[in-house]
Amino acid sequence: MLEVAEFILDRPLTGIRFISFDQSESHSTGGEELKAAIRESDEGDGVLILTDLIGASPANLVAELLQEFQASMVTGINMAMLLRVWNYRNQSLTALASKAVEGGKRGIEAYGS
Amino acid sequence: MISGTVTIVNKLGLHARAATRLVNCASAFECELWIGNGEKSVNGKSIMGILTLAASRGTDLTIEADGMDKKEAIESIIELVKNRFGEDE
Repeated sequence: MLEVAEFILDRPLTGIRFISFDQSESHSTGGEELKAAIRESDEGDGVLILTDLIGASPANLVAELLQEFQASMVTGINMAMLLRVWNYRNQSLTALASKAVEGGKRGIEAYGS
Repeated sequence: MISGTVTIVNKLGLHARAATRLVNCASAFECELWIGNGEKSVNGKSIMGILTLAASRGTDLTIEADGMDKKEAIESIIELVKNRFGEDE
């Protein structure tokens, strides 16, 4: 997904990290990789975390960590959401989360009969 | 405000990378720009906006601009579209 976004925008998406969620890593590991990524990504203004399926393991794990960090989560990531977030990456965490939701919704339309 | 029209001629239409090129072109100008397909008109400096036009080859785009450099902006965008966004086909 990151590669496609970089291809579309024709530039590296610096500052964005992608983390694969390994099903074998349960909550018991505490999501150490995720925590490390949040710490490394935070330049002082907080971190926006985009997850795929609402209520699924990755989203639930992130939800637990939101109290621990200056972070927000938006579920249902799609390419439109990612591009939107990138374009507004300099906005505040709250505003960026709103942009993510708005962008994700804009990217969903039905065509044909 | 002034306006212009141009037909999309490249094979893949106004796809994602083409939209990026169009937005990069539009963003080089100070003026406000709107790109339209039929009744739908979007901010010419928004990739997502451009993509929602879902404009394939043969689509007639309308370009509207308002601001100091509006004439140059419309000319540049029309040239970009006519040149197939720099693509071979």
